[in-house]
Amino acid sequence: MRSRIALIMWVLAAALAVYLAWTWLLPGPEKIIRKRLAEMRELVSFSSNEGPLAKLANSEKLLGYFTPDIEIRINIPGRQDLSLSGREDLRQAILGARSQVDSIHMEFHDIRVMVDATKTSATTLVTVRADGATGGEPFVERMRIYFTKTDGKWLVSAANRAPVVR
Amino acid sequence: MTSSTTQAHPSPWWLVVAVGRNPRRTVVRILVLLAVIVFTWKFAFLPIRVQGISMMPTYLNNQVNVINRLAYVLHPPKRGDVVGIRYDGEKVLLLKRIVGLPGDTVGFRGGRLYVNGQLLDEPYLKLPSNWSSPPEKVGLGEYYVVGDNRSMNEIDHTHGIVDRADILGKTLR
Repeated sequence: MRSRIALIMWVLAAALAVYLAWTWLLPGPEKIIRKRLAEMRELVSFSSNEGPLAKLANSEKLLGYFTPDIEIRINIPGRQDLSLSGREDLRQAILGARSQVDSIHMEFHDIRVMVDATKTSATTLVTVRADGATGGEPFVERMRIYFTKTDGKWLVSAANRAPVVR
Repeated sequence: MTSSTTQAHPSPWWLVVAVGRNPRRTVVRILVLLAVIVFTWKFAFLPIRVQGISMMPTYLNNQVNVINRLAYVLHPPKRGDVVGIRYDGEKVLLLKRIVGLPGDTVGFRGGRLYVNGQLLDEPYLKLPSNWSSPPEKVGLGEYYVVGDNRSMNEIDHTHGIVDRADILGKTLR
């Protein structure tokens, strides 16, 4: 009886090990997208001591997370709605932000990922919080970020405001 | 012929009070109880305190309630349900009533609510209203929510279309 229980325990442990190895080696779309978001958050954030070369390199790296036809619509407090179309627009905005603000610390809260049945596109809902070095109010906005699987990579194809009640 | 009986020493009363007569069983009970509590409050129920007057007179300011997060596991939200809507994660919720379902057209005229052009019977409304707003189409996976206190200024009362994904659950009472 005792050896049978031990055998069952070994089988369960082996199944768990296989499952963990499987999910680690072949993560699902949701896990990949969450990782992409975390990487983007790191690249958007910058400190005041970021050098000009690092500034340029990180901006270019960040652009690689978006599709060439990216569409972004956000509302920045104190300014008009910002609408960006395509990577070139985005490049200008990223470099502009890095030259105008000393530092930005970005956080993504309450991330929810909804992957389509085809597993080639996904919608994420995130609450974005960005603190600048200006000492003003932090920028907090809930956004809907659309991902598309392009050449095996999950890229952001669009992002816009997603107020809870509209 | 002699016989000897060994009598077990009874545990001191304070030990019995602390861990019971069978400590192993007590530990199992505590673990089961903890599992039930964690499951109940993490996955099933969410306690809330109503703040604001938008759901008056159904729910009063500072009233305590509980959101049943499992209410929509087996069926979608229904018209008339009072639901908790995640506003800032799960720390801040909006408490509103569902009046429009996916595919409906919802609008206000002369303080009355019209769904698909038909006046909606709302017995829970006790306060007068003069709201007017053009009909809005509710999309798939969306719901139209509004509070019961429509005597407030329409602009001060958060209402409109929300995603199904943002509806956390239904109030218990």
